[in-house]
Amino acid sequence: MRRESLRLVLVAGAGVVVAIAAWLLNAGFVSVLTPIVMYIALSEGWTILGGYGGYLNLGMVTFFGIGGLAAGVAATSFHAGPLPAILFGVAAAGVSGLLVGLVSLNLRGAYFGIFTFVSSFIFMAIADTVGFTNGEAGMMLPSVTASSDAAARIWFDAFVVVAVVAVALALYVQRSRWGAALTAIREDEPAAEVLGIRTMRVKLLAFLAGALIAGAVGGIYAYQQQFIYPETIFSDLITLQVVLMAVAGGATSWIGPILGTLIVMGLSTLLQIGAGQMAIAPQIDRVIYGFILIAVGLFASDGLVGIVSRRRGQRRPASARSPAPAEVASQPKAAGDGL
Amino acid sequence: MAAIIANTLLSGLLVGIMYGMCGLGLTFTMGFGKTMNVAQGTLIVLGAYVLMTLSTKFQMSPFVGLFVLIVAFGLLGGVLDRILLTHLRAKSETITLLVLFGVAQVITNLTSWVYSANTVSLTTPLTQQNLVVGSLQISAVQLAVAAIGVAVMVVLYLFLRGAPLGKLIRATAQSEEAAALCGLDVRRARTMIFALGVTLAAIAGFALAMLFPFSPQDQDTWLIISFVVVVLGGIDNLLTTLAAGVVLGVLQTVAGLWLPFTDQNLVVYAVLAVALIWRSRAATLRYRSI
Repeated sequence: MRRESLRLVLVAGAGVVVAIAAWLLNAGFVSVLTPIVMYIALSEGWTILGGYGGYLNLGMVTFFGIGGLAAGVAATSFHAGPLPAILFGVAAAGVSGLLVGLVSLNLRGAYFGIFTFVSSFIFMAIADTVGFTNGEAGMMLPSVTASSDAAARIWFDAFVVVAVVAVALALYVQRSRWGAALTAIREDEPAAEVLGIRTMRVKLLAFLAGALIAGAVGGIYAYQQQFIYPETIFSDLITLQVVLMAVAGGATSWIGPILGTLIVMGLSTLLQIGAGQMAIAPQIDRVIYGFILIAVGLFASDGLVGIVSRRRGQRRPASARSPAPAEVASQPKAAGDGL
Repeated sequence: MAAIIANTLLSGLLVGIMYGMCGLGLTFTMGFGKTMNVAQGTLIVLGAYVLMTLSTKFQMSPFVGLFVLIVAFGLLGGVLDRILLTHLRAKSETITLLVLFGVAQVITNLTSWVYSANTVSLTTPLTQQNLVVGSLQISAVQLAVAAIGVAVMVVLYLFLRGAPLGKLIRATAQSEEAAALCGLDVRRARTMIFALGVTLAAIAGFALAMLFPFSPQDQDTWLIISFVVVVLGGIDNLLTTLAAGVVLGVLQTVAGLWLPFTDQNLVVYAVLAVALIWRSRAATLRYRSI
């Protein structure tokens, strides 16, 4: 466990360093780095249920959007300050996370995926129609300081805080009993239940963790952008990127999403540069993401982390119910599975 | 008053059959094939776009185009299965879901790139025609599409009942291991199941093109509808899927009498919520089930 404490300290330390560095760097550069930090937070939050638990939440953006909208409502209708508004966003995301989770976590893994995907569009449609969020027109949030440079740094630091929390949580969970329970659920859920693991509770907590983190990120995002409307804040591009980053990096490890985020954001930047020069249409980057996702799913479902550990000769961590050859002999589950 | 209600019900019935057609494809892949086809919505929309291209660029009658769609998408489904899904069957369901999610993104955005993101609609000689029977005004297009939907349902049912391939599919769906032990070509069955599911989606796309305007982003709407119909109707039975579609269609059009147009979708979502809570108590969708 000492190693874990050391890692947690390192993560927190890195966060502090990065947060301070924001004030020393060019504000424009900080703006470029902001999405990276934001997605690190989101993908770490996703991977607790998605990577460890094997339940792919294809509607991560739902809670991002709810957090953002709730913060917006708090800011505009109730004239709350930024911190209360964002916390309100987190609370709203938590409550809806509880509701959605209770309904959806009863479903089998794959049905859960399709339902969460569908629910993100449902929430977008609801947000479009419901009056107090100003519908499709969106909301404007008040700015925090007069200087936009300072604002960029403030929100960057806010994202860093959430990202550190998310990474620390993922790190902690991975080695904890909770994480072991999630892994058990991922590998063989009925067996986990038989062993006495309270699967619903474990899954729901993991789902909530992701929802709360997404809500916090959404709330901060709303303030950073200063203008939000349902189309963007419930965009399925966010879901796609989060899933891609977590899975490509390696969803079964705390460090996977960080790697994945860096890789995908790097790729995205390259594409944007290329788009400028070669007139590539905007949808093409999503097509590429889709192909990468397909390739990762086919060949490297453990992501980069999996590839590295296989190279190192370590035993491949059982990714989502596919038993490595060495394990089959000791786990006589194959014959009875599904019957 | 009675005429309005009758017309509304009739329209709901006919549109509902179209919803049922959307659900059929998903029932097939999910129920028979145990594959979570997240790409269902985008396949439906793609089918609609292809039909439109056939109709406008190649001057094909939509009904001829339907046959082209069936063949083309059948092939597409088979190819997708062989290239991607067959390899993933050994792995988990969730990886299949992930890959299909990627496929859905690719198809949606390629469609958007090729056809642009604008909303389009298909007009045919039938489009504005109404049949008048007493005080009932029946839209000719809706009637034609519904008739085709029912015909597809009947053909599918007979195929599954009588044809050797149909029996192979049913056997595989019931128990893949037992089928394999009997010496049946299970891999072929799986490919056929997915190909059929994609074909059914294409047929739903034909219906979509005939009845509604569409754009690439609408894939989520049609995925939602397909999903709601499947949850409501159950994934084991094709007939109840069609019936569930009709129920949804009727509920939506009847609600449309009171609700403004933009809120009609809320009815769909409400039905989904209710159906899910009801179904999650049943064994069908839970992880504990087969």
